[in-house]
Amino acid sequence: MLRTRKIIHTTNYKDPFYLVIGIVALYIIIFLYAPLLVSISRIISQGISIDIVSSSLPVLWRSFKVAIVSTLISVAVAIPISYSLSFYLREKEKIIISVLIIAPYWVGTLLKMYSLAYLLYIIEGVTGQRILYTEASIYLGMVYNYTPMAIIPIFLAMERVDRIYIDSAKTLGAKTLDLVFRIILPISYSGLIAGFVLVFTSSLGEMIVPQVLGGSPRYMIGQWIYELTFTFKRFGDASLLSLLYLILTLIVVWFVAKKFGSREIIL
Amino acid sequence: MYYFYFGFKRTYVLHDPLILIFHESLHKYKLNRLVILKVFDNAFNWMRGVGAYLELEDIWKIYGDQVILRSVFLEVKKGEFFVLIGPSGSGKTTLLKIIAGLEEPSKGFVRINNMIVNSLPPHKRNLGVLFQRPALFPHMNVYENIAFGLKLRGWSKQDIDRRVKEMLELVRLDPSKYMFRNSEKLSGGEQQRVALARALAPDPDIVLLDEPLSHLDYVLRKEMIYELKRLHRELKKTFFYITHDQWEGMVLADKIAVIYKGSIQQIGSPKEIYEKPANLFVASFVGDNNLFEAKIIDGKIYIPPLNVFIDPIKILNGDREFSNKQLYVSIRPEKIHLIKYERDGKNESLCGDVIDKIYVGSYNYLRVKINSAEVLVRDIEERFSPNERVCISLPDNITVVVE
Repeated sequence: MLRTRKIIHTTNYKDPFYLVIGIVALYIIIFLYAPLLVSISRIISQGISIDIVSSSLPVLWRSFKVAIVSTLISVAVAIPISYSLSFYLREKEKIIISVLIIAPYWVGTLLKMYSLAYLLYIIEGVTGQRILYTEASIYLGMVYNYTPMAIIPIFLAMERVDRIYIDSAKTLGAKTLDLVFRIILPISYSGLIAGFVLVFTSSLGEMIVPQVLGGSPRYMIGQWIYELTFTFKRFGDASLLSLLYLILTLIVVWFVAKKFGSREIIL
Repeated sequence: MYYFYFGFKRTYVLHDPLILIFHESLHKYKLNRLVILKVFDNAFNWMRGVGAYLELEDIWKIYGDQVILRSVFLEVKKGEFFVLIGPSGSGKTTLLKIIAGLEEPSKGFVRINNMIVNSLPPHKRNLGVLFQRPALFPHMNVYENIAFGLKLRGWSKQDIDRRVKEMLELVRLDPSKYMFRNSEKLSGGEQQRVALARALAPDPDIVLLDEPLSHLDYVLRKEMIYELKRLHRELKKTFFYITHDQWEGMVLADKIAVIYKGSIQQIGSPKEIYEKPANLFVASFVGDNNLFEAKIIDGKIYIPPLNVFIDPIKILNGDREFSNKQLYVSIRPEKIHLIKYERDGKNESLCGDVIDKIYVGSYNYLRVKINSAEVLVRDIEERFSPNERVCISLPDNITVVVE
């Protein structure tokens, strides 16, 4: 037996794989899953009413409806804005305008909605048309609030469209409309889907917009859960509804991803 | 400059004097202005005769305080293979973009078939453009890419089918294999061929090519150059080709223009550019060359670095005024004779040591130090090696370059 073993001394460097995974897992557990576990424990400890789900169905349905419609409008508004930003501005102008678009978020949704409410009040006074506290004003508020959030991923996707495709298409005979619908939108498709999913998932749980601008205190699910928690103190019901809503949202997003998204959905 | 409108859209720009006479009175008539103008314009062109097909007149492009193109005058005849060569940053791509309509010149006129097209958008110019990168649309397969220009022109499905097959066969790609492949799965050379098919499918008047072979490897480039030559012969279209590789230019061109720092240095056939360079830049840019300062003393040419007087039988481009300009002598490496060194030989004055040997296989160079100059000499048969002493003899006909 002529096997000699040579012990090669390596430096004491251990791949920090487990440490990194451990930290990330801890983060996910603490911030994402612990609240869910708290909710589940509340359901068990506080109990639920028998008819909470069936009586909340209309609210659930309304929330989905408002979310879908307002998301579609937001995305529809965001597309021409992103297009103009991406293809008709110079670099310096793009930076300034991008900042201006994101700036309202520093104010916060509540203040934005109050100022919008005041604006609608003034318009109501001028035109005599009832706008505030109707369904229409909720849609208005949602679109006003979420369009910038839709602009960001769509704008980024359009920025990533290589301008050489534009030049090639132009020289092949594409007019502006052809360019937009045959080249730009198909290539930036992933950004469109990302924008839709982002705005949709944020709109579903929206509580402030219907509260400030809507006519009813229980128009959307966000309001209803808030009421259940803070007014009626029915924690079990609130937790159950939240969980139910979360599961429904996941199903919808999974469905959208399957049907419309292909490769790079995430930014 | 007179702009004429069809509806709201500015469609036509003319400045020919004959039209001016009619312009003032035209708006009094409630007829279709554009039809009238086209009739007169065509008549005027017919009287003038068809000259250049693509004409650039005094093109300037200024961006901020940078002058990118400076007074560019070019004429390309119909069916010609015209090559524009120049180093990077000389403005070639900008010029191509101006011809294509992707940019507008700051000053000057672009004429296609005698019509001013400065403000005509690219999709109305009926051009085919091939860029440096193939730029096949990523969301379409090969068929859809080639059919793109045809669909925009409203061709029927059968016509499109037929034409796509035709184009794929033209660029030597087997239709059955390639037609429905995704554009991203092709190699660089295949992609470039599909891009060529796409550009040629709508039967453009002029084909613009912006350094299309610069990203390809040597073998592929050679292949594609012969393909382009063949296509030009078969299709008889006007080709406008840009490159920084002067070898490509020499092989492909019917006519070459050399551009440097935004201005055209020389226009001529490849032979003229090579043998009669107009200035120092052209002499040094095209082909390998030996350039030495020279003075005329007593009717003979004195070359200071070589310390030799030449009494040339003929100065190849000696039809110019030499008196107060700086002269250079341009001697091509292949025109210099190499002579074995003999101790008491006649040509003692032009002898020196071989510094370096450059072996390429198909041609070999020697760098020889003679007096205070380094001379590049062709040595195909490999007669000499480094550190050997060797003599040269200069050709009888000298090309003088004036700066």
